[in-house]
Amino acid sequence: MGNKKIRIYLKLHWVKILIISLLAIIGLFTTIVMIAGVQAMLNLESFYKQLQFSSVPLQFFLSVITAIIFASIYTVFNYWFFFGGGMTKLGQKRIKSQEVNIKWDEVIGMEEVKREAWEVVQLLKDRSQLQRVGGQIIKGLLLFGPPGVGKTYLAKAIATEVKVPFLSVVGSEIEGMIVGLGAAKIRSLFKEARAMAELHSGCIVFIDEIDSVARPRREDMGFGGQMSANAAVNQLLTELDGLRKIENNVVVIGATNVEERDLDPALMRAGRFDRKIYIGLPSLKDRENLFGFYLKRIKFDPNIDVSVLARKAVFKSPADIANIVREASIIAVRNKKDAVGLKEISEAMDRIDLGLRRPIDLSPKEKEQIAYHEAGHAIVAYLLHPTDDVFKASIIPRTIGFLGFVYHRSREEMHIHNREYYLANIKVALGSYAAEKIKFNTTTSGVDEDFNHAMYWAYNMVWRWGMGPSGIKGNFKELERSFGVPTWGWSTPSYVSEKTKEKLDDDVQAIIQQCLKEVEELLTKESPLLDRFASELIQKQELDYDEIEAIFKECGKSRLR
Amino acid sequence: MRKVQITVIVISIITTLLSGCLFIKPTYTKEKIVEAITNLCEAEYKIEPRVWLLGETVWVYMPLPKLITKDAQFDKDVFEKINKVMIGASRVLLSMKPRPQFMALVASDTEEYGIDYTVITWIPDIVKYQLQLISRDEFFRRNVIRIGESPAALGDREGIHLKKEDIKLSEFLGEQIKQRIQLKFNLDPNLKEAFKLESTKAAFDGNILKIICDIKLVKVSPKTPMNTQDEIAKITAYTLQQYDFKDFLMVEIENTATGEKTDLSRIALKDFL
Repeated sequence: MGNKKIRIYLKLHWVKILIISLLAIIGLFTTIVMIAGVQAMLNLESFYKQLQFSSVPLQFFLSVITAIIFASIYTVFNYWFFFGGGMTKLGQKRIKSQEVNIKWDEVIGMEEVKREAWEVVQLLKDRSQLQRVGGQIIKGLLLFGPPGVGKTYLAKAIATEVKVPFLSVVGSEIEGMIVGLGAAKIRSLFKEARAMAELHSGCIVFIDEIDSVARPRREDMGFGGQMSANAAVNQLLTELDGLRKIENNVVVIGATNVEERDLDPALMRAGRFDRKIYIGLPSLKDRENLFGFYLKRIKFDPNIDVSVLARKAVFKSPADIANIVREASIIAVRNKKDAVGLKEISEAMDRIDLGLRRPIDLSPKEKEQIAYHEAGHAIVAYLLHPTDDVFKASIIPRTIGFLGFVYHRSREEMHIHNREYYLANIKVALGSYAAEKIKFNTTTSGVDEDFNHAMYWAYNMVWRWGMGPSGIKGNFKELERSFGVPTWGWSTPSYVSEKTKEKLDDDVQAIIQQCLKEVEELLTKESPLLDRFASELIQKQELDYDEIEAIFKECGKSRLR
Repeated sequence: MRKVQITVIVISIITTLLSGCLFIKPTYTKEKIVEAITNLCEAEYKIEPRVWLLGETVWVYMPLPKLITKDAQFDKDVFEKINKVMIGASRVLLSMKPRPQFMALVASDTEEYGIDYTVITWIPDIVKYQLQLISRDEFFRRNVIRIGESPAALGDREGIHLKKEDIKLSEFLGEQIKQRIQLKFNLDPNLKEAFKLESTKAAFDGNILKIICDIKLVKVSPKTPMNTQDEIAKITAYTLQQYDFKDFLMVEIENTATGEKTDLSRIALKDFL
């Protein structure tokens, strides 16, 4: 029993015993050496003894000087490395609230989000209000959303409104090539934040691209990289918890483009980032405000209708809109214009979306063919599309590869579409083919991309969404997949019978044929309008929203509503 | 607790700084210098020298059966023995207060040729050398070495033939200057090529240091220093300054080969430093 006890004790405490034994041996050895040293010293002849003693103050003085030098170097280096402008500070910017200076009213294009964020601002400004009811202070705010929607801008506005210093750091710059540097940087960042909070009664830490340091932790494969990333996440979690335990009014705002599921679950749990705000792309009204805001900063034609611009800029982020206005002002300067007009904005949009103009010498015949091709698209879109407006038609070749284009967009963001919408899309795509056929009694290879689009919509209508004319229903495309069974490079087995496939293909063709028939009928009927639109395009090369509206109005046509 | 810590630290620092001022009792005394050197050499080097203290000079005698080889070179083992005795005697002299001024070590060939090899050292020079205030070369240049035939040394194991005396600093310096002049004119490549030093004498005569040389010009080259008097004056000025010796009025430098004679007062000698 006694032996067993000893064995278990040794098993449990062998490291401790080993260390204590080693320390004891070292201690004994040191004592023996010291005694021998003292004895040798005492046995020295007086001259050498005196020599030793007299050198002690000098040795001491030199040691002190050396210690001071090394301590200074060490301190300076450590400060630089961990707290000063060293590697831990790379990418970290400290900004005082008055330097951030982004007023709440200047944050536009996210009214809904602002309302939610305002609540946070109020809670940060008046913490006593929350404490009175026993609530915990918000310590973390996570801003989700696609790039350019103004996450950083909102964070800065919060800092300005709360009037506390703003420490900004980009997540991707936290991680470095040195293992553990990420964690050290986070530690340093929060240490400084706490100090700032003590000085200025609060501090906002803004971590942009937080996903870089907040990806889910995984097992390291042996190269150390994941270990370093894990350490950074752990440190971030520790710091977030630390904030909660100590009353210091440090608020962490994280911004990311990735979805919540791509971030470490521990970071997402309640108590870390208390609030999560999704900042989406701006709505029509927001875009109007954004255009209004950015145009006010430059000289612009007062006749510009911002609602038209907002409709045209569907799915554009605030950063995109700012870029459009900036690009338009550059184009206006180049064109020696005093103010930015609709033409410059339109050109700026085209340049951003479609690339630069491509200097190709087209023959008059080619120009005419392209003009009728685009006119076909434009007329069908204008007269038959239930949701889209035609914003622009052009026969100027672009670097992206187009010889011409018609820019049509839905009047508002739509997240779900009906059968009529897709049929209209197919008809708009086939408008070019029908126009070429009606005018020249022949067609060109320019319809290649248009047919691609038409087929894509028709295929999906039939194969996926049960919108085929034969009445066959189901998502047959899904049956073409392997249902998660690995194919190991072999072709995916199809679960759709040949008969069904034939039927589905017939439906696709039926849709295309029916749409083409309707388009041909429409364009034949509207051939004067087709000629007029094409001749205007040949003449002006580009037609903007107002010019297009004017042509249709002249011909007594109105948009399908 | 904090106060105690600070007090301990302050006391430790003061003790450390004052440790250099500690009075350490000398290991050896002047009264027992003979026994001390003899015993140390015997105990540590198994050599038994004869030792005398005459005034401020310690005489150490080493009778050796063979001092030089047939090629008139010092025997390596013998040289090592001399060195050991010198170190032993130096150790005793260094750890003694008050110290004598000079140590004269005489090693004699008592069996083959009857030669005396004498090394005279000013004890403060040993201290300076130990404290690395002077280089090894300079230390050896400061030692006065006399080598001479001494038939009386044959069979003398007790040092009876030695003319032991209390060496004076002036006498020592005169000999050192003579030795330095010889070394300079025999070892400096430029001087060696241009001049031939036949003989040198340097000794104090009352308050005057008289240096009489026989230096002939044998070859003139662009590098030849033309004034041998100046060279000798430089050596003299340097040596006397090193020992801070001021007990003289004048230095007379005479070259019997050329008839040149230079008289330099103590103040004029400083110009050669």
